[in-house]
Amino acid sequence: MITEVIMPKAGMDMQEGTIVKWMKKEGEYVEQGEVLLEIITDKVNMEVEAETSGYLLKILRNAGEKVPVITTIGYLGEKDDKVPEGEGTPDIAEDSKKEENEEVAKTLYKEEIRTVSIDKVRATPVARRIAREKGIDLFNIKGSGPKGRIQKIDVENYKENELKVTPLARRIAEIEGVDINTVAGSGLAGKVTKEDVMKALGKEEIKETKEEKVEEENTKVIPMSNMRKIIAQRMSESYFTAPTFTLNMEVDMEKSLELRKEVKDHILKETGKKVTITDIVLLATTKALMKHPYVNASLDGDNIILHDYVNLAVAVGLDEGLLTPVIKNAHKMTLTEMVIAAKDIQERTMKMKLSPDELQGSTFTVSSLGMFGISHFNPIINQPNSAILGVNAITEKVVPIDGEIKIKPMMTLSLTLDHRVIDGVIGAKFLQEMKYLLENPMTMLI
Amino acid sequence: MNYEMKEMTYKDAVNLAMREEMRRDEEVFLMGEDVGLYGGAFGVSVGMLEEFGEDRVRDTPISEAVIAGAGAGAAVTGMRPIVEIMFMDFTTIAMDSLVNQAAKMRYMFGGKAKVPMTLRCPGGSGTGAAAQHSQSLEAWFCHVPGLKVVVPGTAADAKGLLKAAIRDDNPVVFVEQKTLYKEKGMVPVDEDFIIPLGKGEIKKEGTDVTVVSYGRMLPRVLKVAEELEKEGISVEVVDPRTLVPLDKEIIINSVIKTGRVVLVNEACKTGGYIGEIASVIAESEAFDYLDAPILRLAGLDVPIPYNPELEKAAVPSEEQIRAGILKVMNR
Repeated sequence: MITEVIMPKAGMDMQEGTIVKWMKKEGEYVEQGEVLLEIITDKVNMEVEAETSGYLLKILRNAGEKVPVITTIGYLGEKDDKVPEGEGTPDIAEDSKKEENEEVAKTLYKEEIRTVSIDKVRATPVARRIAREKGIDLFNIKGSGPKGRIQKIDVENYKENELKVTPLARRIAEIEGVDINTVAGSGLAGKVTKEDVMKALGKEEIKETKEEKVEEENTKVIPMSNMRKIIAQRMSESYFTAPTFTLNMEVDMEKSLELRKEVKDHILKETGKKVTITDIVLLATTKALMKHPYVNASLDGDNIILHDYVNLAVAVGLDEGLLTPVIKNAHKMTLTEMVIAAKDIQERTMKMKLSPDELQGSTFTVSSLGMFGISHFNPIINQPNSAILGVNAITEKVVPIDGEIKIKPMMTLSLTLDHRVIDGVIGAKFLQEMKYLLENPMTMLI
Repeated sequence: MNYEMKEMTYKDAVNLAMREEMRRDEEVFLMGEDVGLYGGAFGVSVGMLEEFGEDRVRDTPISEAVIAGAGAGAAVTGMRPIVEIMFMDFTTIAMDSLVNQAAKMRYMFGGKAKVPMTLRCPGGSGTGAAAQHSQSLEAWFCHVPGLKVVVPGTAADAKGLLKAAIRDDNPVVFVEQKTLYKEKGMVPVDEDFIIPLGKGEIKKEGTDVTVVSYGRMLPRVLKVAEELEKEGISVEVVDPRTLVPLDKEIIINSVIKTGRVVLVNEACKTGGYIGEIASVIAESEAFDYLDAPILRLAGLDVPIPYNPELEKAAVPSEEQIRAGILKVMNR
């Protein structure tokens, strides 16, 4: 039997992927689960495993080619299987195919999609049975039971002609508070798609308007990379939806610098890594977050979700853009563990060797521009976080203390908050906590 | 069948069943602590010594191991003993004879031995008898192949089922309910009134939600069901009556009909028999008809407290049963 090898959809945002390298040659045998090729998505490198065992009959797309997700890029099968004619491009009957593809992607990458919980429908067994018998897609039904569970009565009351909506479109509409009934569907049989909802939101992805191209001399047009596009989209979404404000607080870093000096050699000997001021700030951040749960919260529709753990995203700048890999369960870490975790994730980010999972699930983000001498900035929140901490440079400043003039290493912390979730007082208290911890860093070690 | 009915207590129904069987079959006899002169700890066998004499109504020493062992031995040799263990809690002492001997003999002798023994014991809390005299241990016996387990919840069921238990050729654990002994009900006085083991009964018909319950909880469930009926919720109450063998069909069919099920028993929740019933439902065809998660209402996982208020709080109350049914109804 012939099995198509496709460019996987490894994340909600992934539109296309680039083939880095095929690990097998045409005609070679591959075991199910064996790595077949390596691809690079807009964010990470990843290995694609063979879905079934068989011979790699044909490679349709070669290394270096950029391919839309779900496109067939090769075939697996028995030696005497006939490879279908033509190329497996998905552009025939775009819409319906796309929907099918979404299904395929969903089954392939359940893990991935589960994090946004759109592939799971809460429905009672009888509701499922009736939907199955009638061929109704449960995704289209709104549940009236507890936690939105679809009950028997919901399926019975469902009319075939009712609005058809893709799960993603429904999800976006829910988050953005759009009444899905008012959105005109452009998909197959009038199905409402993500694009329709975005259009209704006025967030239509701006199509290229070639006729207005004003090309001047000495200008260079650079198409946005996928990573750039995603950064643009996510930052705009955050900036235009969250009413933010930024609080700044000066911290005397003398004792934190002393602490670093004291433990540097020890940690270097233990782990081979150099402890930095950023590591100490990260540690202080986790400690402070555990005391101020709202700063560590996420916003989901009308619900504020508090976390009793800290998954700390750290902004890492790359030549191509910016990534925010996540240090999971950072609240459990000692300084040494924080040093190891932070260095590890930074190094792997630089090498683009992160799993998609490591870019998700953050509860708070830290962005440091201290090494560039920045004194203040207003970071943009990494949604669905409700706040982000900007860490600035340590500079020696003249500070009056008890009527005397002292020179102290001072650093400003810039905390941007989502006012929908947090008010100024909470943010101020959080910064006070940070200041106390960093000015009395021994308290973090006990 | 139409029988002549008479109102009597649960206790008198048990007494009548024993008397009828002892009159009918002289191999049947009763033995246990204080069953003779004293008439039984709860007065269940009052008057029987006078009617049948010391040979057939035998007071025993305070040794449950002896009572159960002698019962199993007598049964194998051709008698049909009814043995009474004063409190269900004391079956712990009788376990070896019951579990390793009585329950196994028929099987291990290739069917040549029969063990027609009925072990009666009152279970349940509600009398202020505290932790060692108030347990509902029926699930233990249900777990042993070779034992049948009966828990009647009404006077009529007590009579019909006890007669069936005495006539059965296998060991039967017959769990009476202390707090139901004084409850009255209409009972057929006909000697031929027998309820076959393994046959449940729909105690009240309904269409919206099934409540499966037995024993002491049954009257509570029925009361709540009647109240809810007036509020427009039609509750079907299913009483399996016999836990082993279990009338799965009656339960499954009811759940298929209503799509919702609440299970209620007095025994501790963890490892309780309603957990088994929940699994039976979930594994059956009824699964695809469920419109709500299966809900268990059971005793707390605590020793029964002596303090009367705490004792009440340890087992499902009418309010809790009502709340449970409403929850499953999404009301």
